[in-house]
Amino acid sequence: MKHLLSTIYLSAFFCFAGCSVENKTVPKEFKENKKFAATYPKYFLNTVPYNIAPLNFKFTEEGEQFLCKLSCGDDVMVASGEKIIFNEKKWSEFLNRNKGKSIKKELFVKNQGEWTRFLPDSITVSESPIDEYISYRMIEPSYVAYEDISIRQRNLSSFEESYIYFNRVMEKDNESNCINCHSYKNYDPNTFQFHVRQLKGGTVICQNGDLKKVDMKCDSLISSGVYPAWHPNKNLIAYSINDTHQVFHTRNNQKIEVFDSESDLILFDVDKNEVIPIFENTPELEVFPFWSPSGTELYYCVSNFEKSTADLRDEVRKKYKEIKYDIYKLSFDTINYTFGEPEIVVNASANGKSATLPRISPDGKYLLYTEGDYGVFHIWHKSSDLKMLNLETGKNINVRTLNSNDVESYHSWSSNGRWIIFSSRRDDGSFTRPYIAHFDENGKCRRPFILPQKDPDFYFDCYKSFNIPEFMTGPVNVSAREIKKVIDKNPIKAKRKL
Amino acid sequence: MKNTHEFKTINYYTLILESIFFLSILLWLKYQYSDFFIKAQELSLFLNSFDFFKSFLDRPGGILLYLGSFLTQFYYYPILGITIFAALLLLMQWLVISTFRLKGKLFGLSFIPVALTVVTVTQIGYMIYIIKLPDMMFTQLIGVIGMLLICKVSTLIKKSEYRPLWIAVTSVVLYPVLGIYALAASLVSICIFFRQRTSTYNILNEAGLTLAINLAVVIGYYHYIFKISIIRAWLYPLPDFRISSSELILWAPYISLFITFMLMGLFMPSDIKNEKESSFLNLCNKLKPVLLILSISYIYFFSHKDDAFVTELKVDRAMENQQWKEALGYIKDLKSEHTRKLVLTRNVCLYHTKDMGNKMYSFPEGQRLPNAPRPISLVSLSSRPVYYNWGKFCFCYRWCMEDAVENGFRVEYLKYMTKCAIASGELRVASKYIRTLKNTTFHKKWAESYEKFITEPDNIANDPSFAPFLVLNQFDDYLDGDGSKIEVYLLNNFSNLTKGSIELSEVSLVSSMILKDIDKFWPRCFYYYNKTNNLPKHYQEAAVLYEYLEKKVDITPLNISPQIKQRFDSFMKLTEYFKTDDVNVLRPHFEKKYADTFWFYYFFENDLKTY
Repeated sequence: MKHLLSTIYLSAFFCFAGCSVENKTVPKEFKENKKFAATYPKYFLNTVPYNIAPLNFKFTEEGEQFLCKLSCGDDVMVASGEKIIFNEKKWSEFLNRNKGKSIKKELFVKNQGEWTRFLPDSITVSESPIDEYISYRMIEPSYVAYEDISIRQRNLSSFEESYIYFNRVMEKDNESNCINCHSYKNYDPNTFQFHVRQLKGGTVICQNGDLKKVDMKCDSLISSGVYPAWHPNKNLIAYSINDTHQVFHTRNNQKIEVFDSESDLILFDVDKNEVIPIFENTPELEVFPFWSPSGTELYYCVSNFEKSTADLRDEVRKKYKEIKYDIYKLSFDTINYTFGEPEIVVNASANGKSATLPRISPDGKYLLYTEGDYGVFHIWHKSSDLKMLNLETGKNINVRTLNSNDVESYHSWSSNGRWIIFSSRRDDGSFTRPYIAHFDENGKCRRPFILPQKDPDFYFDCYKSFNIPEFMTGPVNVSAREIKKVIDKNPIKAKRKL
Repeated sequence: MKNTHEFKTINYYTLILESIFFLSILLWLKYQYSDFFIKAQELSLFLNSFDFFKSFLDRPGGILLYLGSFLTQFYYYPILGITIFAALLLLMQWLVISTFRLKGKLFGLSFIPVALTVVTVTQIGYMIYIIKLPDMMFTQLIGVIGMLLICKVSTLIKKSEYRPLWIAVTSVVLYPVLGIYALAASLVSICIFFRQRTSTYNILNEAGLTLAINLAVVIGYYHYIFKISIIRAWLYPLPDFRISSSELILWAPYISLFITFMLMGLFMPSDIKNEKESSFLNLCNKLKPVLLILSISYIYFFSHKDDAFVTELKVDRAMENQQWKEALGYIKDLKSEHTRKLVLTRNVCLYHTKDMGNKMYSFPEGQRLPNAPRPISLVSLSSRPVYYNWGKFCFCYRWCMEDAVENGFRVEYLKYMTKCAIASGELRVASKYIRTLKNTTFHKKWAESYEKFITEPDNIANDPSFAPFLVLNQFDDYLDGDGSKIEVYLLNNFSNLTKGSIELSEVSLVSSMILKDIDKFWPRCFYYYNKTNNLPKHYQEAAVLYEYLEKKVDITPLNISPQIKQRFDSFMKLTEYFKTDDVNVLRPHFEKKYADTFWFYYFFENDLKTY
């Protein structure tokens, strides 16, 4: 019903908006403008997968008529209107025909009766496909409150978006939960987990469609599992357990500081519902575990912040700028579930920086992480940028092209390792948007582009942030109401391995 | 015998009653609720965009909500909104009369549903800040109209075999549009069908069938269309009042409306009257003025009436326009006990008129709780105007965002977010909010007036829209939190300031006085005096009192006025005169002469509770 109504109204709207009714004949006479045309989103010299949805955009130039011509040799595609909204089928065919080639993009604007052609740019169509789906949490860049949070999935080849879970399905307002940290095992949409906080709290775990809710908090552990990492082969999830706090800047535009006064690491055996401590009651702060693709190494972040008082929370709050994280790894015995000694991988604190969110490329060669001036929760740190390390050579890789003057934070590799998706606040400094970038066989990153949307105005009008963008090989098929049924039940209490 | 008298057109007598009824409603709404309606549209949002329309399609009754949102914006000019509201009330009344055949002698009964519908709006009061359906100024009225239209069509269906089909169509097709009102309409229609029954009519069958259809419709839409909880699926688009004893009163007009329509359907007059029915009609005819008085009385007694609330609304508006003196005038005019919000906003206004030191204690203290069925925190009521006007942009922005998360983005939140973002130099996100506000009908101009700062940010610092607040924002950043206790936070935060502009040092001084913190008072008092070479009245009063109590500090350099010294001596003599420490006994005696002094505040205003 909703879709039917939407479709009817949308068709009418676009007819009236004149997006596709103008003359699509490419002007033969025009004057040249030596600048690139101003558009939003600014898709510019991008490398895109051949299976990506149309890169619709709008002109922000003054004009009466607008036209976009895409061409690759004799293969031409033209769209017109102030909002350039490509036909999805034609776009897909066009990209498929031109895999591995460069498409010339020419933009024309007619103003005061005269056509102008702006400096052409190009779109390179990569032969490497991107995973069909991503998922993300949609939430306002909020502080404490939550009301209408959802975890959604988006087909990258089209504009189809659907809910995985949303807290509006709960029966009463006071039952609305905070949901967070969705994570998949090896990009498998049928094996995932996410946390439900507050009332009816627990960790929802789905294995091949079978759902359960687990309470991992046992005896002296700081908390239940927080930041997850599924083991690629085993039914194990590594978690950090954190005593997390949130405080607010009184004047700084970064607005929020999230920090841990204590944190450790645990391993959760999904089959046995058993918790195995990795680090427990250590003076260091350990966080953000992530497995190597082989599952024989566990990467994580550590801060050696030395606390001198009993009131850890207050001390950390006062000295928050002194907290710096480095990236370490532990070897892992996949038979006995034992760990080796910590080895440092990124010594960011030595340079006065703080490195978090280690993510290893599927081929195991590259480590992508976030680096900011201090702290653990870089999504609120303007200094936060993406960094990459070649694990084979130990050398840093220049990924400057991914970064901006604003926040770059949560990132994820596609299953073939050729695409990176990450969160950025570069658009307006406040609302997080997903950006996708190509990473080629030679270890080079290409200019990122924002996740395309059907309506180019989408991001202007969207008042929610895209949180934790994660690639998936397909859609999650468990329904939100099935998940709700599990949330309504009492959680399975995890045992601590003796 | 066919009685034609009750179906004759409205006579003059009825017209006079009708005029009295509607005039009373119009005047009541205009003079009691204009400020409320302005606030209601500020706490609403209607955007002229297709996407905005689409956003309403995800719930039953979404189109009603959309229409409600559309009409609520007209309260920007209260008289315009009230006129539209009254016109729709008239339409509703006409539908009631027409559907339930209340012309003539039964006309007086039509006042009842109108009065109940008016109260759905006038009872809201403070709840406007926390309910998640701010557009209910019109939504419920349009819902009732939609429901009556369905019932009207029901009366026209004479063939009983079409009735189940009509019920099914009503529920299936109109439930997404009208939500619970479509379901209610089908139940009222059953009552109408029962009244119009033939000998073969089986009420149990049809009622059972209707309930089954409604159940199937709601469950069907719940499972396949609307991604909401089952409770919401039943109740949309009714407001989200709690189903609890404390909020039962808010549900009362809705339940009463439904019962009224059911009864009207069951007992609507038939074409052929028996004796019993005729005597009932005659009774109703005689009772018309009584029904009028009862309906008006019901509106009066069940509407939210609170002079402090009205004052708060006026003060909010004045503060938004930086009309500090007008705001203080409204506060001064309030004769009943003040709320903490008024105390908080009073201090802000006094700061901006530079009268804190001379006039603060000429305003009464107060701790009156908001007159609402649910506890409402001060932070919900006043975080935006108070934090913004005290230059705390980060915290103002935070609470705008928190409230937007809870209730959806609204005009008031977006305006404050725009101002905070501009004042904090976050121009990109400010332009996002401006873009949204430019998409409204009545706030477009406001948005355009702030758009100039995006292109010319150099003007921000000296522009009167920002300059007075930027002065207060000159402090070092640190991590903090108000714990949702705005008043306590502000007092502690300001009183703990140890450096900053002269403006901030004065606020710090005043905060130490409000907290009765003598140790913090002295350094701030001397600092202020040394910087300005002037010590307003209340600061002198505090200095004299503290010097008397502690005898530690030499106040000679503060150049205390002889009048204040003399008055303090009289104050102390009066304390010696009454040989008791019982403040309840002493208070009336001191209130007469010293209510406008810091001394009175210090000794008699104790245990003030914030919330």
